[in-house]
Amino acid sequence: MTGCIYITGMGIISAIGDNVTQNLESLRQQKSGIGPIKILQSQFKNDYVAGEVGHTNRQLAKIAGMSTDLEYPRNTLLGIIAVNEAAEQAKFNVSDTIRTGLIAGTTVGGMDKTERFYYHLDKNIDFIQSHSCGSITEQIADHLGIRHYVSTYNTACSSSANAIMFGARLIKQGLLDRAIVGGFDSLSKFTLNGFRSLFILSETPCKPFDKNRTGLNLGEGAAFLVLESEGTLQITGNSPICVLTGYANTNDAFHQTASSENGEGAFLCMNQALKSANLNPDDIDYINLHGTGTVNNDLSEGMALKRLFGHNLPLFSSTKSFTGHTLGAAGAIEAVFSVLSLQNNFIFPSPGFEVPMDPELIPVTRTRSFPGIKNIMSNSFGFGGNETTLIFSN
Amino acid sequence: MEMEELIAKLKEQVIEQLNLEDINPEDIDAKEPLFGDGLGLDSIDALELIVLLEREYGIKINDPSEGKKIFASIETMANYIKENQNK
Amino acid sequence: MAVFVRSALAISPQNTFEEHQIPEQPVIYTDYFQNILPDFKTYFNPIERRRMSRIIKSGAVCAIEAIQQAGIEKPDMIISGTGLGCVEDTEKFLNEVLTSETSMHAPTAFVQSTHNSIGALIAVRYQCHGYNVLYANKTVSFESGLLDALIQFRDKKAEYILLNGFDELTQENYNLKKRAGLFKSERITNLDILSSNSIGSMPGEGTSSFVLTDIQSPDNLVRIDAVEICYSLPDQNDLESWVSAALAKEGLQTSDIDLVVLGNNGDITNDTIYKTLTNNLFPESVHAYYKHLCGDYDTASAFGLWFFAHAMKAQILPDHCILNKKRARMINRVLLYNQDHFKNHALILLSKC
Repeated sequence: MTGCIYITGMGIISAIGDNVTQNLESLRQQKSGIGPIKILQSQFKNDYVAGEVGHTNRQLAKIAGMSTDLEYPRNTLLGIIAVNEAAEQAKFNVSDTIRTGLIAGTTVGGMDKTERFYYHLDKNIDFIQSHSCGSITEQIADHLGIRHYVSTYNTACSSSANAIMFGARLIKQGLLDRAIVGGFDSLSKFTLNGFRSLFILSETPCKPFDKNRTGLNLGEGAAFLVLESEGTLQITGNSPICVLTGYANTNDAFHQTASSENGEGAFLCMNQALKSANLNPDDIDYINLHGTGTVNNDLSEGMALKRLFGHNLPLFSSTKSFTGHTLGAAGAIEAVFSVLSLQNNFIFPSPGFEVPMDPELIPVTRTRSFPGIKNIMSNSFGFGGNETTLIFSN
Repeated sequence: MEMEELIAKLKEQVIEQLNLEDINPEDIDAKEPLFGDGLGLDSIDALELIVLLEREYGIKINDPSEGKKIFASIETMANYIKENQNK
Repeated sequence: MAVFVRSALAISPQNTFEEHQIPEQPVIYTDYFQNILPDFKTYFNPIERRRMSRIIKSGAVCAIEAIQQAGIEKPDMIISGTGLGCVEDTEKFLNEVLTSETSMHAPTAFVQSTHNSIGALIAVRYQCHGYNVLYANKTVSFESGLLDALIQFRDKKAEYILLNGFDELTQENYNLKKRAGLFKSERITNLDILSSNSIGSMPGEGTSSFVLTDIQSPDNLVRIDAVEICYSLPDQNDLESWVSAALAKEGLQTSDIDLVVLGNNGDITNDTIYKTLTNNLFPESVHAYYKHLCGDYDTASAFGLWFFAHAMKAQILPDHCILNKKRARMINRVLLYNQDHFKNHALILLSKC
């Protein structure tokens, strides 16, 4: 098992932009996408703010180049928009010689369509076929023409980070030459009400790592990366954007929803990811935190950071202040942000941060340039103790 | 409703809300701690009890951290209901 | 580098869990299958059971027994596969939300609807901090997990991996899918699915857990030589080339396979694919199937692995699972093949150990 994993393409749609360029611009301008909920039909529209993608499904279908008459689940449309962009950048062409897989992570699958028609079966019953997580990935695979390998993760908020990791492992094993990896999650009544029932939704924009944080904002979006082996680069002629140098997945083994106070799972995960990358803690220039803005996660992740880095904490922030918590898509969206950081020598802040929850844990609060940035760590920690860390390098 | 009656009713409702199969009301002591030692409930159960209070008694709790005191035992729950119902 | 099944447990519509052996005669079902459940009270007290749905109790018990029977303290990794996840809890919360959003919703169903609840529960119970993931990709959910496990062993990242496959059938889900025309429209029993000559399958459910290891032992049930997955193949010829190539990678020819296990589910268009494949590539092998025992569901191949791992260990093959009228003297090499409407082709290659 050898070889580097190169990133040769990326695509994204989120609350802060419909593509990479728009997302980068918003990050640079510190323009958050958290705001009132306009598209999702919910009784709580006015009670909470979220990182909603500002297009109806019809509009998304137009952007994706799909029919506006068919009832696609929102995730299919978000996923296709992101994957189109990534595939184009990587000059993807359905060809027999490059064994390509599509691996995605999601938590809600086709839930938005299910919600619309569950009590209106006479209007539409084919939502049954598009409800499951895998059915959305397959719709995206069929759109691209992927033949070799398709799979889907559902490990809550670490789903798409795990998808990225598995794509890399399949390439290193020689089972694939190229992997299109990422994820998608759309807002739904199910998740809005679900997180509300846990009392961890904030009515105002989230404040990760802030003393006065009151919870998370939900978000939605999709993002994909294209991974290639060294050998594949020779065939495609692509120039790599950066490298996926390390990754790890561990389990907190503490509780179904809560994270341990000592951040054990997160600590083990970041540590293992460093080892897999052959890096030391002080090689990390910046960390894109999981940083949801809940009392529990930030405490736990903060503890894990201190245990691992001691007093030599690298710069860090949570970009969930821009996009909201995009659940299954978070790993991939934040991977794209990490790659953008490396590509542009910029690091992005946690806008809205005011008072530290811990005087030793102060995130970056303004977008700033970072010439020569080398290694970025990105964390995604989910329900069920699912912890995943990715490391990207220039 | 008298306190004794309320406590008896609460025990049944808690058993049902938390799906404690095979536990009978007489198995729960009204003063016994519900969380940690004692019955061994956790934070999700506390949220379930918040729902119970709203659905059955019309009492809304907006801050789940208040739950620790209110749900310390069946007796403290009953006292809270008596104090706050119809407010 | 060889990977072995050290232990294998299944809760299914047959008496597979209590009996710990492959059923000699199938339990008969009409229209759909439902699991025969063990007594969960012997595993969990009321407090532990309180928020566990049927599928979570089944998955947890299967996993606990698999770990126990493997004689290990805890697995190094936990990998799971499911098509639809925890359906009962998903339906419960969905119905609550759709009926009325305004009232406060109890969080348990939402929390428990998380697909990887079983993996999380086992991690907490055994304090297992290792790799813990879940695949949710329709009919290759289980095989994706198995492939991941094989790669972990190849990379020498684990000695023992717990691998689970689970899916459940609720009344509500059955009613919906029946209405959508996915199942047999005529009344049928599981013994008649092959002769039905109609489209649609008989849905089922099940939970299977395996402890896999790369450590040799006389206690191992069977050796797993390979897992191959291909999302889409153009036609039957490509399918046959793909299968032959998969065997060739292991230095085998089609004639080396004693037993081919197919995912026949009674849907005539689906089953024709298996018939053509076996006629062309495996005319001399024994052909068998298993979905008459567990029904059709996304992770049914996990039940298939359970069944044939035990069959190979005991060198017993009940008549009711044989498709052609052949008999094998020794079952040394077994190939399991499943697909879904000519997509998600999956092979598992086993050999006697």
